[in-house]
This record gives sequence, structure tokens and C-alpha cells, in this order.
Amino acid sequence: MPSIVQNQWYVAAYGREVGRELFSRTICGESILFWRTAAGTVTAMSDRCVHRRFPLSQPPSHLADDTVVCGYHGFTYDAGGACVAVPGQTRIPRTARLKSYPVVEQDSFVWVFIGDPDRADVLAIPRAPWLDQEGYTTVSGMEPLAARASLLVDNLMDLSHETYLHGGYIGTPEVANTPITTEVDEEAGVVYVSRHMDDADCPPFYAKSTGITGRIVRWQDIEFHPPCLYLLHSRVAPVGVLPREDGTDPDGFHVEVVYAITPETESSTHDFWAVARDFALDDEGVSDFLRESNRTVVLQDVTALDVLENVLTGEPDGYQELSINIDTGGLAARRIIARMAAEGRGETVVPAVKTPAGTR
Amino acid sequence: MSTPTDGLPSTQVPLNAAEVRPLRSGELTLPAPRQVLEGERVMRVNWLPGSDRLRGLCFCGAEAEASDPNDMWEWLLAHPDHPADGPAEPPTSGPLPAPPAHYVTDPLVIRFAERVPALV
Repeated sequence: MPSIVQNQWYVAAYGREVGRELFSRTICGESILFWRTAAGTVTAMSDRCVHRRFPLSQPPSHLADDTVVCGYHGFTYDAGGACVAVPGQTRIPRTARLKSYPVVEQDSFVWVFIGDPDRADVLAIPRAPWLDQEGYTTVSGMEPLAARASLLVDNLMDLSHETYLHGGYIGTPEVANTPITTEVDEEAGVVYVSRHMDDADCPPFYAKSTGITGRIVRWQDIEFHPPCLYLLHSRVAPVGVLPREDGTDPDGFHVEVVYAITPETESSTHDFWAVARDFALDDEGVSDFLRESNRTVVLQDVTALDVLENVLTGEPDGYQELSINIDTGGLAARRIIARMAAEGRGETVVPAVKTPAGTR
Repeated sequence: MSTPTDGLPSTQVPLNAAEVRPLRSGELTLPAPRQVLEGERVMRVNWLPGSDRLRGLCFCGAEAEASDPNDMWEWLLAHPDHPADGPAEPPTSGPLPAPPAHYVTDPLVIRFAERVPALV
């Protein structure tokens, strides 16, 4: 049964990846061609010529002004995917058109809508404003993951794995007496997991970037917008330093860690990662350090999850997992994604939370 | 299980690890969940690392503790029909089936083993 959620927005690329060169990426199993018009607008359409299926991203296919010319026989398409020229005749067959995709460039990402285009609501795209905002400096990248997206969701929703998989980078021994709260808003489609540590070790990731030498207040607030966008609001400050009563927080160091979890296929994933900070904005050394550190952490996850995908693929179906308390947030995310996937397949879905008649 | 949200203990009460059973009214051992999301229909679960219990709070005010996150979510998501005797509890005694073997169907994923002929 397909697990990819249809009728959703997904991150397809960083805006910087798409220019006046043809760019192709497979999103949710659909091969999509991206390019930027002369006016600067990103367009997205199927990456296969309707004639003989030649990939339009494959040279000698090329852009000519605001059209794409197939490198095999010269079928030519405009920015909306309509065929505007075919070789050797003036009549253009009515069916000569590419599937085009709703696309939005926002918060440094190129978002593409997978599913029924009539259901593409731009306002439904979750936001990560720090990635393209005055007052923040961002480092970012993308790593291909040879594993299903759900494994990365599991991974990110439970940060207790930091201690084992990422020790020495972002992991520190667990701090006892720090409750972890998981909140689920089914209507808004948000899972929130927060852990506020009042007195914690400062891992190198934060010690070297902030310059804090002692113990810290460390807040980790995960805000996951299934199926694609994961935000980790991280605040660190010297022990005892808290936000002010008026809500401002000039004495805290804020790092917004953003992941976009985009299925490439049912068993592979684009792992977009970004780290935005509101301190040391012009310090290239800090940027280099955070870029290298976070990429190292991402690659540690990639290595582990690639192995896990391999193992799961080679097993017969029906193995039972065991979940414990650390999995509370991950299980909540799975439930929402499963419901979304069923809705996307057009199945009748009983709401997880039953609403009494007459209350809405 | 308890339905009112007032008068609940706000600090951690030492946990008796042997006490694994549905809670009667007022028997909540963990602090109440933090409330960050502002929606009107938010389900919340609190966990204190080191504790074997989860404390769940429905937006209707019903709350309970559980030992297993799946059972905790099942109980919360049953709103408005939260089972009165609390979330299901995994059995703590009785015979267990033998753990299954780890079967592998694809030889390409056999790891940590040199697949060379064994000469005896």
C-alpha cells in the first residue's frame, strides 16, 4: 500500500538550486523538471516529453527563452507545460501537454504540490521564516537518504537518540527530572514535543558556536507539520538566564533547525536540513562550524537509516516493533501521517478524535 | 482516571515501580503536561525520563496515566468515550511466546558475514 501522502505540499529544492538551467528531481515518485523563467518565476512540470518520453532535463534538451526544447525531436513547451511547437508540422496535437505542478517559492524553499492541483492551497504551506529573514544567518544542505521517509520522521521525533548516535556533537547525557511533553493538535496537523532543561551540559555544537563555557539552560521544542516540515526551536543560554517577562529574549541564543522530509520514492528520501541562528551573524567561522557539524550529524543519521532500510526491505512483512515512552512523539506523528495517507488515497477516514454531533 | 484538572499534584511524586495498574481517581504520579499549543482540541502527554509512566490529558479535561505510549494514545483518541478504567496496561506476568527468529529473505542484506565457502 502506498505510504506517500498525496494532496500535500513538499519541499522540492532550495531556491538557489533552480535557475536558468534545467533541473530535475523526483518528488514522491514523480519526475519533475524545474526551471526559472526570465522574469525569475520557478516553474515545475513533468520531466518527460510526451512524444517518446525523452527526459527534458537530459542534454541536449535545453531552455530557449521561456520554453523548453526536447533534445530528441524538438518538441517545445512553454512555462505552463503546454506544447507550442512540434517538428515538421503546424498542427499541435491536443494531448501534447505536460503535467504542470503548483509551485511556490517561500522561506528559501521551492515547494511543489503533489496530488490534485485543484486542492493546492498556498496558505496551507507551513512556514520556516528564519531561513530567509533579516536577523538570522542560515547554513543548509540536502542529503539523499536511501530509506523511506517514515524512518527519518521516527528519528527526528525522538531526540534521545542524540546521546547514542551523535555523542560528542549534539548529544549529552540525558538530564533527569526534565519532563518531555508531547502535544497533538489533529485539526491543525501539528505534533509538538518540548523538553526544557534548566541545567544541562553544553554540547560542542552550542559551546563552540555561542562561546558559552559553563552549563546552560537548553530548550528543545519540536514542531512537526506532517508530512514534510520539521522545526526544532532550540534556545540555549547560561544557567539562570531566561526570557524576559515582556516576552523578549535578548540574552538567549536561538537556533532554528529545520528539516524538510520529502519522499523521493517509497523507499528513498530527500533530507533537506538547515540551521538558522540569531547570533554571530557575520562570523564565517561559526557558519563553517555549524555547517560542518550539522552535516556530520545528518550523515550519521543517513548511515544508520540506510542500514535500517536495507534490513527492513530484506525482512518478511509482519515483524512487530516495540515502542516505549521515548516514542510517544513519533507514534503521534505516525498516526497523523497514516490518516493523511488514507485521506490522500481517497479512503473514508474516521477522525481519530470523534467530534460529538452539534459541537462544530 | 481523573476528569477534573484542578487540584492535581503539580510536582513529581516518587514512583513506585511495582505499582503498575490502572490508576484510580487522583492517583497521578507525574507532573501535568506543559501547554504550548493553543488549539482548542489538543491532546497532551507528559513523560519524565526515568519514569515508567506517561500522563495524558485530553482537551476535555479527562486524564490518566499509562505504561505504554500506544495505549496512552488509544485512550486519549477515544474522546469523548475515554474508557473509564483507564488505558490498557500490558500484562506484567504470565507466559510469553518465544522471541521470533530474525528471518532474512534477501541474501544481499545479510550483514557482518563473509559469504565465502566454508572448508571443513
